Amino acid sequence: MPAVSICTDAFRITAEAMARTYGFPGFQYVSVPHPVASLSAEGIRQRVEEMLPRVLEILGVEE
Amino acid sequence: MNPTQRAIEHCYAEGWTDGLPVVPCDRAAAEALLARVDRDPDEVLLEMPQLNRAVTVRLAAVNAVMAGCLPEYFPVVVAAWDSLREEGYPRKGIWQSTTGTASLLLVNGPVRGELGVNSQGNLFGPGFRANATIGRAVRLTAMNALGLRPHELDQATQGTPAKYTACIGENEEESPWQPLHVDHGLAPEDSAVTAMTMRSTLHIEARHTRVPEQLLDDVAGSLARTGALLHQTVSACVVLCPEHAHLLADAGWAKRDVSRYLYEQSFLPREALDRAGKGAVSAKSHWRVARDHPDAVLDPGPDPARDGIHTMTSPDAVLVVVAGASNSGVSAVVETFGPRGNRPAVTRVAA
Repeated sequence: MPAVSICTDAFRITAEAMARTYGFPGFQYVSVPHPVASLSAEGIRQRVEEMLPRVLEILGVEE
Repeated sequence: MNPTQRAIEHCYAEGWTDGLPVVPCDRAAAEALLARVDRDPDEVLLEMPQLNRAVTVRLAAVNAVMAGCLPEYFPVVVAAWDSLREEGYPRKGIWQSTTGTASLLLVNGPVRGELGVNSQGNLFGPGFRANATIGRAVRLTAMNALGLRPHELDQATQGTPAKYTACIGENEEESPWQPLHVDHGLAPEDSAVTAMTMRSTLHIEARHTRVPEQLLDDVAGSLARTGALLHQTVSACVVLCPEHAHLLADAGWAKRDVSRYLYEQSFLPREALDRAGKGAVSAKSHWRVARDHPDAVLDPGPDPARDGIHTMTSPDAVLVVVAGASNSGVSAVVETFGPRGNRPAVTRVAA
């Protein structure tokens, strides 16, 4: 099943290190502003709406 | 620079240190450690599939040399890796976590005397080569063999000073009870290492009382704190100084009585949890959340008469050991990720 990795911008260095570890430098993933753990439901909804175009882009969905 | 300094600086330039200088390792130095154990140098001691990396006996030996271990320490280092594998948290990725844990190694048995593992004064502090370098060997291996360097694959938000080294002996000679490894089926003449995933070490200042319940309630105040709670409940290794252990034993308390009492007294009323916004548990992540969180589920405590929870998972989640000097009433609570009621990872050191 096609999948997209999502992480907050605080974890970009780790995400890129993990991608190199697996032999995929430049692996595409979605990064969202940090933090998310303390957001309200409305705050989470906003994050999802903001990231959705990028998720679809990585999945190769054409509008 | 002289040749020794050049070699040390080379190790820094290659990124092979924890910030302190390392002992440069050549083939002969590593072979001297490998000769002390009956293990294939290519045997995998700990695998991290999520990183495509593994710690082999050889990599553990090279890093033990770099940490400053003598060859005769290596059987303890290998037992520490066997214990870490059994304990389970490192393999699940805890060393990469934002929580920033360290690995506490508890050493039991005659090997303490043979190698000079400190189990008495300044237990968690510096001054003892075996404690300093056996604990450091694990961290250097994690950094160099697994690539768990800070700001990269080690995502610790703050970490703990215990990440440099955390290796202690149990003070069996001054304990009123039988040692941990004997509690778990080994012979007194066996040596053992027990690895625990730890967060904080908290001091308990209790020089004021001869009353067992007062002493243990003082300890329990550090067990029942909301700041320790990420998930529903937690666990601890309570390191009693000999004076405290004797106070309890003289009044007829066994270790299991101490664990049971500390568990009972680790009760936090719901309003204390609510004040910290941790009055419920997320049905999805099982992290503690506020009652008004959309995924919140109230977790009933085991005592229907009181609304609240015991911070300790069970009496078995409170591991009691004895260590430190016989000179005062100072004990420690080591906050751990395990055991959660299962057997601690007591691992025999090969003779």
